[in-house]
Amino acid sequence: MATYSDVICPFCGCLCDDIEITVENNKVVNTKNSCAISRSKFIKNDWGRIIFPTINGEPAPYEKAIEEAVKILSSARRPLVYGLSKTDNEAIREAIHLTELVGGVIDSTTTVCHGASIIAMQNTGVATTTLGEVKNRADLIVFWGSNPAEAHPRHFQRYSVTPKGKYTPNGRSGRYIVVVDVRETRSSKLADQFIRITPNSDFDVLQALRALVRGQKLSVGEVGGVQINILEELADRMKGTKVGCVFYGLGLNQSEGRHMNVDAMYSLVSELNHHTKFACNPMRGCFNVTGANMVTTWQTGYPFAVDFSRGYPRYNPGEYTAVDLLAREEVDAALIMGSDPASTFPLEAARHLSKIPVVTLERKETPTSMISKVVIPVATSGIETDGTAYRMDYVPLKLRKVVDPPQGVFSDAVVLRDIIERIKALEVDSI
Amino acid sequence: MRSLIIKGGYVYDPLNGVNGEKTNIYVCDGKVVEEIEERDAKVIDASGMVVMPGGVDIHSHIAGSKINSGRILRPEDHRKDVVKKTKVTRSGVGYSCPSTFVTGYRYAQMGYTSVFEPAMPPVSARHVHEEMADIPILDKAAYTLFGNNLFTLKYVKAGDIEMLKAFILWLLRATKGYAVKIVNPGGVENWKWGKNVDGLDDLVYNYEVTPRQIIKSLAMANEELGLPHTIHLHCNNLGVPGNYETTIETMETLKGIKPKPGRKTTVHVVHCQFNALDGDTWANVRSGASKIAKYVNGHEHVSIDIGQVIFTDTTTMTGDGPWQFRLWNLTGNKWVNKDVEMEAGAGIVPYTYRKENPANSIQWAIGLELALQIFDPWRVYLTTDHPNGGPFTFYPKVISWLMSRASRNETMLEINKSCIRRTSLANDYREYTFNEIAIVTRAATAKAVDLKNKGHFAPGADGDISVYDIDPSKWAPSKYRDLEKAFTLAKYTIKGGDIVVKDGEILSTPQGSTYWIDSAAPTEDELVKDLEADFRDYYTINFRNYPVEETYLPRSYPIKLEAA
Amino acid sequence: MVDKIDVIILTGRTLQQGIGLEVGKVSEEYSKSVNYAEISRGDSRALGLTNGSPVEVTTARGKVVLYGRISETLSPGLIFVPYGPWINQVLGPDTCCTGTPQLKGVPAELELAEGKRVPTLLDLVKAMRGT
Repeated sequence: MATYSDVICPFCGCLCDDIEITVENNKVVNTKNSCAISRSKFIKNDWGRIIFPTINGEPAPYEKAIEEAVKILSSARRPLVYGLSKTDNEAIREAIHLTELVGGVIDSTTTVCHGASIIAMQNTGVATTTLGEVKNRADLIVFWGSNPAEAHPRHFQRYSVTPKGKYTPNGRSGRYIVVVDVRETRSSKLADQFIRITPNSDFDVLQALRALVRGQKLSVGEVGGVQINILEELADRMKGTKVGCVFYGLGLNQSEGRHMNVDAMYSLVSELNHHTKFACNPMRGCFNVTGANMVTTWQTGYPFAVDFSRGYPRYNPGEYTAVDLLAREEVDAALIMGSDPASTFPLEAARHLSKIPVVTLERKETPTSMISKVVIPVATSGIETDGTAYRMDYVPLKLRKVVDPPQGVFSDAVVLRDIIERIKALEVDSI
Repeated sequence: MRSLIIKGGYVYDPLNGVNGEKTNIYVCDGKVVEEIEERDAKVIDASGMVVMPGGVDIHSHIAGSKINSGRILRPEDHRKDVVKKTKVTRSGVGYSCPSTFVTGYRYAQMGYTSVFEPAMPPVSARHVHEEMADIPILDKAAYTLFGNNLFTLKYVKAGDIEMLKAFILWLLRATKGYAVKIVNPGGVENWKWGKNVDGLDDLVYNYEVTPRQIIKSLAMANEELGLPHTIHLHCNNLGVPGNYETTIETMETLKGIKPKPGRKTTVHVVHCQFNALDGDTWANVRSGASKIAKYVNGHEHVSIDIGQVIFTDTTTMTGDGPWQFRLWNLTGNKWVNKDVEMEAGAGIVPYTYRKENPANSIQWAIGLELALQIFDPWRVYLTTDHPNGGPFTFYPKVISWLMSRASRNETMLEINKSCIRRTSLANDYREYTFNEIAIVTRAATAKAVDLKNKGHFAPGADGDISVYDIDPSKWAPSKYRDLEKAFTLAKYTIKGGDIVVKDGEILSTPQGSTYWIDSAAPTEDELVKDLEADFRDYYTINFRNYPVEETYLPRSYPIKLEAA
Repeated sequence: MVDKIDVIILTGRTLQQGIGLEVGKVSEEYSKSVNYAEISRGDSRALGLTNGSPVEVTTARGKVVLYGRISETLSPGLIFVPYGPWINQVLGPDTCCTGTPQLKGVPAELELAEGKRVPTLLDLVKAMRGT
């Protein structure tokens, strides 16, 4: 039996790095400090694992599966490499290399989550901060369209609500917490103030707040279902606080307005910096979706949805984004890793995946693996392999291996390298 | 035994007193050697060409969190400059926020072989090294940010130079950093409350220390430790008209510090152009370069790099959060701010230097005035503070301005006449020689960071060589266009004895080394106890997960300090 | 009592959904965590819904049967369904050139689905394949 401490959890963008893991007979038998979801990931790590590759659902030796993957990807005219967010930077590097080799498109789960945030940032910029600054200085926290109590369970206690920091010695009682959402949630129950807004009205409410922060008077009685006096009060509170931070989630990105909602939020926060200190942080979901953006950006210049079909990187949301590509049936082969688009994409996009040859690198059976031509099992990044991941605020951490993967199962990075080597050997000219 | 002879070129090796001599350079197994037989070696005919040690860029923002945020911010910049993959090279994008592969290729194509990232926030040091691992060819180092770090402020307040020294060594090792970088000391910490500092004796909130104290303490500690480079300092009040006074006052503060044996300098002031402004407002701003140059000429303890402005659209990115906020207010361009817990901050704002803009014309003149009016080329280096003044790919243009008055005049005629009325550039007749260019782009910069195997051709030096297709015996300053062309794409770039560039084309992409300081103070155990306590209370990552593992450096080159 | 109600679909993560997906997508825990819709007390009463009975959600893109759960806090006119392949049956792929489909605030019709079965994960995969 062995105990490991300071283990970094590979579930969500919090990347909590204080987990204690107990391992017995190469299995995680206990965890300490982990949230319920983290505990599930560690303790059920070996549940339902795929332990051998399959081709068309039939068991196949690793070499054959790699060969088949190479055939599929190198002969495709428009291959898509997708996912990336539940694996480490080491694998993501290989995925980008592979996509460049075959002249395909590479996209990550960013595309359906915080892609809109990135687009807004590209238009407007953003005032942001790392989580420690929030812990140590912020006395006003606003959660907007986000439910950390269910999606980032330890965010409150580690970063944003209860921790006592250098200039926040009173912890919770020194902070005012506002939750803005379309419905009551476990998070709103913990707030000092819950503001309910009508679905799809975030843009209007944020623009109203911007006007109020600028000192303008509004001639309406309510915006987005919120009484004007509530918004006036919030604007004043934001302007008058010592240090404020907004954490926002997919309520902004996935509603009507998409990146314009985020644009309005970013503009509001930037403008608040004329009055006081304010920052904004997106609540990134998967544990390394931020890393996927980082690696893709430094290697190609662009953060997601990158097309290599002309031999150089191109970026154009709507054109090279995965859901759009699949819905337009523009893709004729795919490699999926670190994600399950057959589950997470709207049906009309997901459906196309069942019509084309797909290679999936997966740990456990998913709808995506079920419709794939080739399935190659991979090790759990951050539990069975070392790897680098970036927290939601861009802090990079090294995840450590605590158990061995199943026999004959390799990391994403190793599998991708094997595919790349064989494609290079074919001397495929992808242009 | 891989051997190379660069034959018959005009060699500029200022560190060894070779000034345009027609001679050969011999390389064996990656190192410069005395002499080898021609029949044993590959011979490169460099006759009629300039031969210099590979370029050493002492300050260029190439890797890390703010650079990457800059890349994300500027898809419109990338689209201007796409780079197709080849059999040998990866694809990417260039211009002001180039992708990592392209950064390595473009520097190598200009004949540069070593480039240093000047601002590494410790908590994201891993990011810097991950990116550097993807910058091919070049040898690299990163300077760790210290000036607004909570431990720096704590030990400065306590007046505890010994703990400060121990901390410097610990943090350099933990971040795999090479030098002590300071950005707007005190100002970046105050910015976390939305404030700044206005001068060297302003107070930092909660710490009640001053920028002056921070700078002095770090400089003293730096010299007592005998670190290879002096403190690398981005002064307070950057971008504020009238700031030349702060800059001189800052330099004066460091006059009394005893430099480490073997050097005279105690401070390197970075991108000095941005801190050489006279006047009171942007409306009446004028050049303060002559005043700075006068000071630098009269005081041996200072070196600077110029931070030259290029008339183009570029991206400003610095660790000076409040300055970047100011720039947002001035321009209305999109603005990114990123505060980094307990340590540092950054800001990014796209910016276009316009020829018709009087302030920009003055800024353009200032960089050149500094280079032309400071007599000692060993203390003034060529940079654009890439990408703040402009992309590094414009270095050949800067070289042409330095070496040719005609080139400067051509530009001066195109730009706002304030450059003539409010600066002294029109009266600068000096023209840099090839030897001086070799000094300010390789010999002096290598010496300034004390990398003994760089920037020269004595036996034992690294086989980093650039050959430029320009004949110094036939060249005159009127031929500045030829000069610019020659320095844009090297005829040959040799890195560690490998020909990596030929006729401007990349032939191979070896992995470069990363230099870092690997030493510990005898009091480190005591320091660590103190660090661990504050980590528990204030940071959001655990102490054990903070230091960067050496495995992040594919070719790690640790340097141990000689015992002080 | 009415036959159909106009509602707005909200999707999102839940703790149970997180736990379930980390067990595995083919697990009981996962299916149970995403194959239901939370319906307000008021709308439940109007439809005559008993807690746990099947309901059908229809949008312009399609329809899906889910278990109906009565919520004390949800406002009338809204339903909440955790992210997953069930609700994706009725959400469209239009991203307005942003890459992101609209997964929240989507108009739909809600009615009881007596006698209809909530599909299993396998059912959904088969339907995707067209088999």
